[in-house]
Amino acid sequence: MSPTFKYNPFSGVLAEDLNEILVPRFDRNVLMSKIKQTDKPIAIEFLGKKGRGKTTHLLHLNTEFIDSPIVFLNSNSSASEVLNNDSNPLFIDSIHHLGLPDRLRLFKQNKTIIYTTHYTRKWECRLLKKEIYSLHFNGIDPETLQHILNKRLLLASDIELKSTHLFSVTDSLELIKKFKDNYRAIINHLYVTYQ
Amino acid sequence: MTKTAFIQGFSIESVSTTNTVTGYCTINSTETIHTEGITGMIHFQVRGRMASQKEHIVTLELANDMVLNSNETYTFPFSFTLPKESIASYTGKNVSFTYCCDIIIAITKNDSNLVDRNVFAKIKAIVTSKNEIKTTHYFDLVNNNTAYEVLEIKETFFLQTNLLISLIFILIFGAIYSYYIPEFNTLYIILGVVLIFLLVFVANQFIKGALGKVSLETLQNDDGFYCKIYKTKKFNLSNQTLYYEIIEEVTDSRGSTTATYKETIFTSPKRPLTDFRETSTVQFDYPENKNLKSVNYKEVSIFWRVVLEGNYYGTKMKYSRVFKVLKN
Repeated sequence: MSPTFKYNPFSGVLAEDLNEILVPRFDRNVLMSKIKQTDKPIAIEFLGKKGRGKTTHLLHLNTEFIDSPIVFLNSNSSASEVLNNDSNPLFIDSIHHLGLPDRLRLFKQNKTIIYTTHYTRKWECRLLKKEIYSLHFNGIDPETLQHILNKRLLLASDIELKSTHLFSVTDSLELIKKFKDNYRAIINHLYVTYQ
Repeated sequence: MTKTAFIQGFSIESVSTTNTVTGYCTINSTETIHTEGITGMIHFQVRGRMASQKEHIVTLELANDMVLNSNETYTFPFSFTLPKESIASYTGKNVSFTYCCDIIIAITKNDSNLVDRNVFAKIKAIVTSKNEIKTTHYFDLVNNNTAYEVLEIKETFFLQTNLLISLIFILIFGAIYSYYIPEFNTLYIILGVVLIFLLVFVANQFIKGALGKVSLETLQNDDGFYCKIYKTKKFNLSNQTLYYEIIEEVTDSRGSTTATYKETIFTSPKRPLTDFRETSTVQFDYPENKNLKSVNYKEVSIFWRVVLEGNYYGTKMKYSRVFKVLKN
């Protein structure tokens, strides 16, 4: 018999639960030391295609910086939201919504900028002699996916789950076969299954 | 030493017409334990295929400086009033609205090491660093004592883009393209897409102009609502029917791209518009589910719309107008 969940385990994660379900793709200490090197501001990019977990990791990292809220850009956003932002470090989701001149103006600022992007901005940073550190969000191994999915099930359940209720490596492999490394597509697919 | 575990219960007894919620929670401790206080935090949660939200509604002080004797069940009655515009519990295809109560038991410093820290001790609980034990209880909040009330409007209908017309233009473009330019050319494809959009827009404007204006007036009635349709003389569709539908719409703006999910959750029976000269009035009943009022919460909306359907030279045309339904 399937367990009853308090809510759909594959619905969007609450900010307060983010640390419970995230399986970090990077060494947090390395990243923190790069951010905290105040003498030399840096650009840190979370680079990858859509649905690979860039924003989730940005949100996770941002929990350490309560005075620097993330600027979520969309097609209606104004460049002044980031260009006149006093936060340092500055967190930006979807930097591709800024035009090239605005991005250059942003990278010119003497502050650490951490952003998500589909394409690398290393040439723009090199042009302005700003150090850049790229974290690639691609590929997914079945064990990590299994871990991520089971964390969500456990969080949404009030009872101890039996192994039959949990995802196996074979289940993850099947999902990867179908959706490749598109984590978002996997979660959306499972949302429908569990609704 | 035996560690203390808590067995908790949570129940909602009634929801009044003024949205006053009464209920109780029970706590049974397996060992005697001293508490500094017991608090209930009521939250509204929106979860679904988008960034989930949790909003604090009210805090309930259930007890202060209290000793919970072993194996004795304590009942803590509570009552709180939700704002009139509160959203009822709902589970749809892409979103759910629910309420939860975090029961926080603050254990005295001396007794904190007596607590069973297994998260699955009786009921899943989180032991925080502040000697607090938090258990979340989910509950549904529905108010069947209040009735729907349509917001009275008089507005113009919108003509929805006709898919058949779009398909015809796509087929024409496809035929011309394959005949004159058999190989794949990105530029021509882009130009073709732009041209199809333009032609569909022009065709829509032409039909709109040819048919003239049609408007909707909504009026509250005892058991349902009236839809009064006003039209110009030019407006002449065959087999005209009128109905309303309730639609759930969720915008997922997580990450770097946005997606929208739409789902029709209720469709009323279709009513034919007979003897429709200048005006026609149709009465609709409200749905049996009493908790589907219009909702607009961040990236989620539940909206009601009236649809006027009919044929124009053999093509089905759809006019629609969104209107609001509240609960009084």
